[in-house]
Amino acid sequence: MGDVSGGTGWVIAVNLVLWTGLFLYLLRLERQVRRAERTAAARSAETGAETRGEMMQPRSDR
Amino acid sequence: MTSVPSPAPAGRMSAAGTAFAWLLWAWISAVVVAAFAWAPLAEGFIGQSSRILFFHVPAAWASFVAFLAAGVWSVLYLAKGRRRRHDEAAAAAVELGLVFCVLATVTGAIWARIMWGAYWNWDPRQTSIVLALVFYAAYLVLRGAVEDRETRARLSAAYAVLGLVVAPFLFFVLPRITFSLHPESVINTSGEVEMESRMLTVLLTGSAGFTALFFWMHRLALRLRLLAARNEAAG
Repeated sequence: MGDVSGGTGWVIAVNLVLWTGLFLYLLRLERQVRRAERTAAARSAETGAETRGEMMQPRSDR
Repeated sequence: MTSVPSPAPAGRMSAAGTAFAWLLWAWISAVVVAAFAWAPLAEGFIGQSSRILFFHVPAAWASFVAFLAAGVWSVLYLAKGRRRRHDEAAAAAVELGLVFCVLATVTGAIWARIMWGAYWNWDPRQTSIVLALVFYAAYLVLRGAVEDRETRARLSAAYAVLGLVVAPFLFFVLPRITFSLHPESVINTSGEVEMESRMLTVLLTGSAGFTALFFWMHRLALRLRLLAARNEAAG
């Protein structure tokens, strides 16, 4: 980027910085949301299994 | 102790939400094309450098909107029943505001390299955006430093409310009361808009697009925060 004549290359560079930055941030956010959703689903499945397990117990054991 | 609000169910995006996302990206693509091919070059700028402002200004605007929104959500948190959703919404807005602020700083530095010969000149505009970055980075540091959730939410809400005064001062007042090489704002010091109509159209549609982009990203960031809070509460 030695040229400082203000050519289109600079405007393209600005766009690359901007959209790459936003894309990477969105990608990170989306991955974190998926991970959190998986954790939440696993937790609710565990809780559900526990509840079902409790309900399967004979009344005297509860 | 407030309960953790539930985020929207996984994998559910309404038809309206999908349509909005497509419309948003189409809008932004149109702004990019118009910035390159439709808007004329501004006088007094070197080469194509005036086109950079069609991306730099909307990014700076989106960061300002984000900081303002964080302040409003913080006011709502303090005034309306201390709901966790408001606290997390403010934190997500500050985080996104910082992302847009960093992007505005970098794109501005590239523009400064062309126009002023150096990426960084400590021009009042550059200084004020750094101060804004430091101020809102401190908000996240504050959140990270306080362990008790209620105290953290209350303190950070008070801090973000202070930002309702600090952000307008740093974005609009400080650069106007000091000598700056930076081009005049869209609304200049005389309170008038002296910009070619096509340039103004691209700048305003770009700013509207970035504002919508912020709110769209905010929904995702808030969802993540609420999911994390729920997982944390579940142990």
